[in-house]
Amino acid sequence: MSGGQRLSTGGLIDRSQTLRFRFDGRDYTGHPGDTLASALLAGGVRVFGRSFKYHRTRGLLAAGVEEPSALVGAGEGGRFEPNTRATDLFLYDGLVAESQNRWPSLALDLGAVNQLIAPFIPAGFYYKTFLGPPSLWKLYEHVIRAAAGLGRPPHLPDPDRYERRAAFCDVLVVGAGPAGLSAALAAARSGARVALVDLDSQLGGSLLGDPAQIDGQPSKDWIAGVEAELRGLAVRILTRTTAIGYYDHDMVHLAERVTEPGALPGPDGIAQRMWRMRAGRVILAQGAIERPLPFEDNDRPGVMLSGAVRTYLERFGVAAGQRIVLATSSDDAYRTAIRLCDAGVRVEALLDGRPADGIDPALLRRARDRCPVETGVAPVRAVGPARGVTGLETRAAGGNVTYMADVVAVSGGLTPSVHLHMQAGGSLDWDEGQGIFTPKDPRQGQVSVGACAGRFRLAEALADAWRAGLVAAEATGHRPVADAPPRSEIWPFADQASAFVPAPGVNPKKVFVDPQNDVTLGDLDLAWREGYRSVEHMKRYTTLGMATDQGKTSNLMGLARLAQNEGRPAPQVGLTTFRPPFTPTTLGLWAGEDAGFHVTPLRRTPLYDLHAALDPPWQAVGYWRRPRAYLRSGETLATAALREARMVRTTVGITDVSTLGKFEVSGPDAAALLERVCATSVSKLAVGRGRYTFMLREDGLVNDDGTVWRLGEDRFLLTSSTGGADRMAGLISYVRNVLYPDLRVGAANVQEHYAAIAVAGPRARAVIAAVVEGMVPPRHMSLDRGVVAGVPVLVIAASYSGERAFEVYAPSHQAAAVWTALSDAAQAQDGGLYGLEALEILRVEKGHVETGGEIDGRTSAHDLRLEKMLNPRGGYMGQLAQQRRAFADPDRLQFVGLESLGGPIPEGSMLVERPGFAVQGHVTAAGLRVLEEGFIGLALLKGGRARLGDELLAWSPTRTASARVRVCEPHFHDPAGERYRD
Amino acid sequence: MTRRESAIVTDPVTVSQPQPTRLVRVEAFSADRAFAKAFKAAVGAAVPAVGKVTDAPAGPVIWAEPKVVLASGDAAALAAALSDVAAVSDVSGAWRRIEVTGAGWRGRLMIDGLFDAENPAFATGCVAATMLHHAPVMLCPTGDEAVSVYVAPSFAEDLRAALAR
Repeated sequence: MSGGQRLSTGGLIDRSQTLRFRFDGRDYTGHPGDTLASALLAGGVRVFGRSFKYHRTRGLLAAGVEEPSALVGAGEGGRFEPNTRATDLFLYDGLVAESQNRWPSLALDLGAVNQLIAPFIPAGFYYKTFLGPPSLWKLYEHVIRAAAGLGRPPHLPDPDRYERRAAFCDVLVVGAGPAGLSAALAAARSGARVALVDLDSQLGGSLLGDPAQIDGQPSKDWIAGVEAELRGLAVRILTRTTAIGYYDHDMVHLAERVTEPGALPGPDGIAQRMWRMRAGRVILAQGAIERPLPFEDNDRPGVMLSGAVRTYLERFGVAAGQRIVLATSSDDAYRTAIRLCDAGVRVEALLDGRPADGIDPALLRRARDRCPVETGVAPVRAVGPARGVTGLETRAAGGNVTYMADVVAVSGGLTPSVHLHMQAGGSLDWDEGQGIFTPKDPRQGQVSVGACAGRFRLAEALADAWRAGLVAAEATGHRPVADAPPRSEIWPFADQASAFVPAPGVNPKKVFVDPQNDVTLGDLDLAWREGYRSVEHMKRYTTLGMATDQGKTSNLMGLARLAQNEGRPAPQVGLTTFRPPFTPTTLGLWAGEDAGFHVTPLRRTPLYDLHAALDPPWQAVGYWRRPRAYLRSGETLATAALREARMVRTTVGITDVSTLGKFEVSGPDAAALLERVCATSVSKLAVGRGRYTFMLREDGLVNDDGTVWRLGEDRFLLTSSTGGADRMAGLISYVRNVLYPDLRVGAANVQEHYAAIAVAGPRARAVIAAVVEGMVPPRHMSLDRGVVAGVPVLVIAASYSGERAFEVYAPSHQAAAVWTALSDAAQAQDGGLYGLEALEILRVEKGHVETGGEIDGRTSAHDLRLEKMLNPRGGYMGQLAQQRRAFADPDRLQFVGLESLGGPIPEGSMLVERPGFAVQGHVTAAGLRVLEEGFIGLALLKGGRARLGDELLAWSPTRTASARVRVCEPHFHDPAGERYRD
Repeated sequence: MTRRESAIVTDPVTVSQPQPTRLVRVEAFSADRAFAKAFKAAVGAAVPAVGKVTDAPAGPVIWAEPKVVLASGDAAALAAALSDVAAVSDVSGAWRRIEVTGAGWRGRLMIDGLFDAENPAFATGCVAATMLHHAPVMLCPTGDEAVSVYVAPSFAEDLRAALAR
């Protein structure tokens, strides 16, 4: 028998409790504190999954988040989470997990046939294979889609909640290993507001799997003491929380697993939480990741990292195998060998690739007291079938020797985790001897300590981190304490040599660099031969370091191979970009609360509830919702909209226009400010009068339009479009506070102060007269004040529909009564409500330009036929820019009308002579004549103002619709404006 | 281990319905001594410092942005009193006030927020303009266990629902 087994004692698990779980349909047990990986390993499981490309069997390589191979799906139904690392899933009772990338079963996987054709599908084969007629792509696509992807997504909606939370601190410590704890303690004792986060379920980091003596006590007790003190100092401690991204201004995203993957959340339903932590200083104590060694079939189940074997032993009380052989190029593996021997696990041999004179004699003695140690020995090949290794073939000076073992523990040295340091814009140093990059200069407030800074000796890491904690506290305004840093036992052996080159004669096509993506040294060599000299190109061509592990155990070896092929030092070859997230995160975590009803905020007009009571179809206008129409029984949206438009043309309609931008500008220089904001003249406007206006950007193009009203000698109301309201607020603020800060004026955004109700139609005047107490309805482009239903209102006479019309403004919290009164009065005049669809039909027929339609950010006043309204005195924003040569180009897109010579004009269609001919413009809006027959539209057409009478095709190939059209003036209804007059 | 001890204090809070609030926007032509003097005479309280709220007989006076404060009172009367030094606009319809009460209000404002409401220095007499659940808001602590959240009416109901979850 081979495989792991639970030892009778040891570990940090709670042996008093038994947890039951299921993996691939079989029942297993474990203990609180176990990971799925440790529990399965203890249960004798060696094969955890299949690789992505060749479907080779895969076991455990690591014991932490760097695990590339043991990916599982966890949970059921909507809680199913694919691609979860078995090493990063803490056991809970009832856990259901399954292996992935196999069919029909892990033992019998049809995809494994890929191994037979492996020579024909090397790196980048798909770039060379799927060529040919485009029609064949339809055939390829199905095959590729079926084979692509890792894991399967859940098919049911996720029932859980995801929360997004802001947080702030003086000092953020990432990683709660010995260095992180030391740094946090120093900063917290100095009075800093400290947050300490770790992706593990408990504090301790490497000490959990590699105990030591600190401050004269076992590390387990030291950790407990530090944790208690930190909590007493109000340090925010977040476990199961991964710092996944380091962004500008020391913003760090923290992904907290409130529950384990697939588990039922607590009463609040929160499964995961995204913290957006803003820190004064960030201390990175993320530790280091061990590298594997290059030899043939080094991906076989049973080939594990030496540190992982030690962690399974010390933390989980599991012997990874019954006969273990270790291959190493670092001192670290000696600790594993010694611990295994002390625990009674049989160590066949410790094989060090370094020569004996490169190893500390004291270290050799300690190991040789317990197990055979050979030096100058390189691994050549893992021996054994697909289900797991049975031995390791090695090469030494005396020839090849095979050691029988069910676990091959390897250590190619430690690689500092510089991911967050690099995300923060830091730079790196290269240590050729150890084969590692270490953090060099920070760009933000980060500092790396401990193993992630390349300091692998515990005592050094504790002291170094302590100093960093004090410095961070001082930098955030606190007086550093004078206490001494924690002291540990002295374990001086932390040397390592780079071991990126396999033994001579080893077949590189069988040496796996990235076991997740089945990338071998041979693939890297092939990519280099084919010209992929950039590390970024090599990554994408071979898929090295892609997918869930992002090359945590493989990138450096890949880089070293490229450097070797190039004949250049590793730093000159460069590294791939470190991008967030550090570990895979669920989409739900990113969405946070913004799901379902909360996918976007809903902005309600003051009259929203009254509309909602009529259950209209809604139109999203930004975050606003506005009724599209008020359907009657049997009506479609189109028939309802046409009925409402005809109602406005013949009697009267009312509609909610509260979303319009509104600004109250007051003060002695109010007119002066508006003459700079608006491109039309304002100062000559009489009190009580208003006019249409529009505003330009600084580049001379039209920004928005609206109306401006003189409420008093020094007080104006400026309206703008709904979509442009925020933009206008910014523009006015810019002009007021930046360009002309000395003007004696105030500009208040009153968009939400006022509700606005439009009353339009031949009988609108009658409605106003009936509802507004004692008011003679103001004439067109005039205003008056009155009272409706006891509410003070402002009535302005302006029209968007082309009919005699008014807008009634009331304080938003009092608007409902005004709406009800106007609605009743409109019904008494055989009128009623109308929605956005009718509004659009009416404005198209009238030929008004609209922001977002014709005012599209590219059109000038001349393009839109507005040039006669420009203020002749100038002085407004954008005036000078209009003199640019491009504005005089006769081929500019210009505003025109279109009459259909056939059926409906497809909105958004292109204007062409014939299908396939050059595009001359596009249809911005289309509709129909309200009271007559025929279809009409508005368009922007090259040189359009000189092309009245031209016939074109409005062509929409994507909708397979078209209509012959004739170019005309854009005013189809009452072009003289006679209907505005009483 | 299905669920760990929460690292978050989850003291309960009560979230009120959004209430209209009578506010007048006062924008100084120049933030000078003349304005300060006239403002104090008209409102009965000094112009609040940046990020601060002062109490006036008619209600709180809230610093809103450089040269702009929101005061309580009658807009027409204030406009008349301050016409030489400031522009005054009634914005009573532009704000709703949501009261969040309970020991957990600071933590509640961190959910989908951006501002450091957990900073103990942010206390009664302070105001912060920030975003909360995508809505622009002003936060005014009114006691150890209470904060007023001012928000535009259009966002008010969604924000109330989000805060109450």
